[in-house]
Amino acid sequence: MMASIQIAVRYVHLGFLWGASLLVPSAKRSEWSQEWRTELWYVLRECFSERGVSPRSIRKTTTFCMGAYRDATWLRRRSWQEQQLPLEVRSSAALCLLLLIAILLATWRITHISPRVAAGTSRIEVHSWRVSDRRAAPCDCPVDFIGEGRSLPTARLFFDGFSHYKVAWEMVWAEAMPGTEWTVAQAGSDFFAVLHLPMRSMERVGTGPGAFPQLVLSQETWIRDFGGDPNIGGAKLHVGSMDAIVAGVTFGASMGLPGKANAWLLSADPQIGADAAEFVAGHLSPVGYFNYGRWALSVGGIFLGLLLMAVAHPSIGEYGSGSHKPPLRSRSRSWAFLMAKISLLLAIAYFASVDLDCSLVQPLSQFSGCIQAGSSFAFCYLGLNWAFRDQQRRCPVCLRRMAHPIDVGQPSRTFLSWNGTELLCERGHTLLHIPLVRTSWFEVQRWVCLDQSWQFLFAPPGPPSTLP
Amino acid sequence: MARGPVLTHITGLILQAIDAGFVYGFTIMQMTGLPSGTIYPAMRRMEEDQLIRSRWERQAIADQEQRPPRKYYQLTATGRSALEASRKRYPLLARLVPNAEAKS
Repeated sequence: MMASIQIAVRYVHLGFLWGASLLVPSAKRSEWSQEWRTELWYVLRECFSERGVSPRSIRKTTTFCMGAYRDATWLRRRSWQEQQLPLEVRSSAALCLLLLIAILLATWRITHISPRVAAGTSRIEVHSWRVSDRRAAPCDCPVDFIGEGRSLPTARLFFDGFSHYKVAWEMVWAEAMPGTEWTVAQAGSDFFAVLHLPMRSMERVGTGPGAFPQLVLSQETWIRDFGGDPNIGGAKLHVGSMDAIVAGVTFGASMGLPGKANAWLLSADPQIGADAAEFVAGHLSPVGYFNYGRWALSVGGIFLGLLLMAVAHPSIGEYGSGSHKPPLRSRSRSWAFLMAKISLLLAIAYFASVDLDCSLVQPLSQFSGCIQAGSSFAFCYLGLNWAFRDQQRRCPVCLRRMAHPIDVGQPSRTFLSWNGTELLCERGHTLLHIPLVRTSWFEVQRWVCLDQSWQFLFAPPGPPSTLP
Repeated sequence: MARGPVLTHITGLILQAIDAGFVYGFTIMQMTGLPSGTIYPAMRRMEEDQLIRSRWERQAIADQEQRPPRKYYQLTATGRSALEASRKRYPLLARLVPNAEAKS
């Protein structure tokens, strides 16, 4: 009994170690596991020889195994640190711009593959839903679309045509064909044209008053019941109590519409019974999301974000009274970099708001516009905040991130707070002092440009010089 | 400037334990009284700093003694000089960790 408990305890703790090993980088996992399993063997031997299986010995072993997680986490963190780019690359302005461009391209790409936004592409989608029983049919749109008047104007932004059809079981027969029960969908005569559904016409059929209704066979039915006869066009079939003329064959998207109709009876006057299932189908406009002024929602949000930032009046620092300013060329470059960041961020905010809107809500939702405007405002405001904060920590000369922060001051004299933080440019161009305790004479961060006399501290190590 | 090894109290304690003959993880842990989650990451950092080096025991020896093979640690030359420095900084280290032979 005791032996089996010991084995169980051992396996449980081996399980703990296995769990921890998943955190270890795969290159080191095998040796790491071997070492910890070995050590566990000694820990178990020690614990069980002292006290047998007792809660205390189990707790001691478990504590030992929990240490494995700390060790594994340390190794994982170390591995990440080794994989990081060197500070010289990480802090560069070019990398910052490249990352922003990559994000912009990603958001732009997502926007353009979204079916709701695909402007000018040939992508066509058909959505449909039940009306008669108000149950959620296989459909991508809200089922209460028809009932809720407020949604209708929004719907018109996305759909350029609607049609309606009923589906019922009907007996179909002809002179040369025994009676068969088909699922027949009855729709308006312009059903295929409105929904841009593919149909192969077989023969010119009369459409004037008094002409028979047209019957469009599904490709599957045409092959199954008529052997794919290309001369079936014009044949007269009896559909329930009506006569109809075969006008063509449909294939492709129409096969996937709810109801799975064997044939489509195109007639202006519905003849099928009142208990038939009804559907309304809408054709998604291929002309694009932005053609209806949707872009203005994002632009409005971005404008509000810009306005708020202008009111907040962020500062990127001042120069110390005893310090000279960097040359005009460097300062111009710094401002150009800030402008480039802001431009990219505004574009990102624009496309990201559209992406978010498309991914979060259904196209006909009344919240759609609010989400787009709100998210563009939030993205713009947060992005601009980041842009200014990033600029505040970049050397105005080389545009690299400042490094080596140290706290300065005497906490005992300033209510246990440091006076400020000082950062240094890696290349020795500038020193940045950020006040933590704001005073009337030192409110915003201050740059000190280091002159040439400091350069010997930052010169790369070279061969040892020989004294004259 | 290159980062040199950091001589914390834990580093000194582990160096002292290894020097005293406690040469694999479990015994170092027992001798120092530190938890496994402190000892093993510290030893990995010390190995990176080349204060100690490790080697696996031969399987044949472990089989003979009917136990799994141990991973042994030993001081490097840098580790030895670091131990001397830590003994000066923490004079009680030598008293905290007795010699392994003396203990057994």
